[in-house]
Amino acid sequence: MDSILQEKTDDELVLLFKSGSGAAFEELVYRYKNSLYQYIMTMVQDEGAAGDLFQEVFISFFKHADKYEPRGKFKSWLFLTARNRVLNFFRDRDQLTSLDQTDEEGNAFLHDTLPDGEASLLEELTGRETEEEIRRAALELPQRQREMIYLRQYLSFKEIAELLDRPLGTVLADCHRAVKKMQRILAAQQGAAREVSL
Amino acid sequence: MKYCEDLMLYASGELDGPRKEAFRQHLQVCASCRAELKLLQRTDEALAAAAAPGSVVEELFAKTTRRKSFFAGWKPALAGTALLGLGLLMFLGGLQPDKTAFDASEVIAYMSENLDDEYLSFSNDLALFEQEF
Repeated sequence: MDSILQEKTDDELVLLFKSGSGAAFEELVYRYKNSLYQYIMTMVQDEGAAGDLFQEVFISFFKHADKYEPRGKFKSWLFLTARNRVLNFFRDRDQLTSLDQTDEEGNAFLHDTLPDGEASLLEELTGRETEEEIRRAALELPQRQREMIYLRQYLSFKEIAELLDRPLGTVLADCHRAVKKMQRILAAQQGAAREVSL
Repeated sequence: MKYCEDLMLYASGELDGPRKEAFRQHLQVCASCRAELKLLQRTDEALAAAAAPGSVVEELFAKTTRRKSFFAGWKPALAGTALLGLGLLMFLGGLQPDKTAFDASEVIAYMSENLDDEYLSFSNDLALFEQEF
């Protein structure tokens, strides 16, 4: 890979690509391939479909870059395009409702339901889970919350709010619900494991 | 709800100034927020982006930047044909008499004939001149 291109900003690479540099396009792909693929894979849970959608996002940019105006938001544009592709994927499969479903169950915060003093127990509990258990818990989240947990790996909350077209406060509250839900899932996993070991 | 929001912003490094300091102090007394923060940090580690499959990326490049045009595959064949044609032309050209050499021999023959005539004419004139003077 070209080290000079690696130092360029996204917008500079976009302009270079628009002026005919294929290497600039490839640098943009290398820059976001992992995060974008993981986001799509997390949403669709299907390797073949994730690969196709991932390619579609970049091919769409490749073909229509002349219409894209660089304004310092290439990453947001990329994730927005990916999200739209994912929505189309679900629409084609009649699964659209699952993405924008509100998880009523997730609205009950765990620490609101815990008796006084048990929060510290929870603190002890958190930290013993393996990375694999955390990944599994994240995948068990309702899709809207799962999306939030993954998006915050790559985007700021402000960027997520813009991407999802929701108020910042709503996004923060949704993410908080996702964390509480994960705590419950992990606690249930560990409870089940304890029962098995007994 | 304020602490919930601040917790999320703090975890992603988006909380600044006095609000950040106030939340730090809150963390010292709130086990629930500490537990959530810890889980968020461990989630970040666990969900660190796995590499996209190399085959997917290579396929993407094959469809875009490294795409071969229709004529790209024919380039060697076209170049070979062009060379063959050129060779053939040169070969056929070699069978023709040398036009330049042919023209020169004609000129020399014409000149020698005409020079002879002129030379004879000049000699006759000279002989007549000598006879008279």
